[in-house]
Amino acid sequence: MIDPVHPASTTGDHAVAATAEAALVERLRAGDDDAFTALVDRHAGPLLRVARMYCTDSVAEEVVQETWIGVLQGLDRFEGRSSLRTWMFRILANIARTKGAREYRQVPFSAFADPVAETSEPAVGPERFAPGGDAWAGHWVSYPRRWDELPEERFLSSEATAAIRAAIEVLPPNQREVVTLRDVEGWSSEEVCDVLAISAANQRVLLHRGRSKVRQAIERLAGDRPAAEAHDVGVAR
Amino acid sequence: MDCTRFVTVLDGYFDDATDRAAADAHVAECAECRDRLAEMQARLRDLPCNEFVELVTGYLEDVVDAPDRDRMDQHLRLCEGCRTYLDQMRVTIASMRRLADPTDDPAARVALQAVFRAWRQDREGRAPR
Repeated sequence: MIDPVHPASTTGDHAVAATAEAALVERLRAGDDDAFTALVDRHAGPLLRVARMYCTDSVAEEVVQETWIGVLQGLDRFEGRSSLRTWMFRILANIARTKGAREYRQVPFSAFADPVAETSEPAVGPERFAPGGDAWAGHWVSYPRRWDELPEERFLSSEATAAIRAAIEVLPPNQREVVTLRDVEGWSSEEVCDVLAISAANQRVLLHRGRSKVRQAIERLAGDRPAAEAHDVGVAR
Repeated sequence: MDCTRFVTVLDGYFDDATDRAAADAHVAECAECRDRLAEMQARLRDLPCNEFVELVTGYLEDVVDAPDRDRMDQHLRLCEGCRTYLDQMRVTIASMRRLADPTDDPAARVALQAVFRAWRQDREGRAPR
């Protein structure tokens, strides 16, 4: 269906996606099995992963099950003002809340302190940079190691996958939310800000800190020695 | 190394691949290239690496303002370490994205289909005829 006010050619993918989503919702309301299968294919994995941010695995499965029921029951009230998945995420959030604070791993759903005001967390340890007073103060003491020179299995092994997952798991809750939605699920920054009710600036700080820690975890996994002598540019400079 | 060659390798002066000894030998004899080297080093010092790494997310999100973006691009040309760091961040993001690989759970799918049919039946039951 062509929207005369917002033709897809000028508003891009977003309008196309919204139109496709509206059509899907219509089919769901009409009780179309295939539409429901498509919805499950697209969202079952993400819903479970997002639920696991907040709940133990067994509770997460219950939360997801109830979310699906909530989605179907609420379908007639869906107005398409947000994307289907942010709407579903909110339903999941409400259900996770009513499951009781006991089940929360930590602070739920963006009970945010201002992340910028928290103690500073440098993306890279200060020992990796030349100290103040040095002619090259603030520059790498030794370059980070190039990962493209490592065998690719280092990043694809089940050990690597587990390590990356664990690194996300131990992030502070607000960083874990943002990193999971942005980097694991691939949501846009707008969607994440919308659903977590945070500013773009805060979202970015949380993403930055979370991502930086996951990078550090991969660096440890890759077996990087922070100060490879052959790369000692501090001396070279 | 002559001046022409020196100018072409100047941006990569600190890179591992650059023959720095040859460049230094040339600089020792050429005042003009000594100035060029000093000027390049000043450009590099304009943005220390420890500041660069804190701007990386903004850079990848494309939200740094134009002057900062220029400083970062200039720094990237001169600093192999920060180029590597930026690559590492890209690999990090791609690695996390792979965690979202679909995990098919046929039992859950069947259970959900039952939920859907029950919902539909209930809805048809309630619908005004």
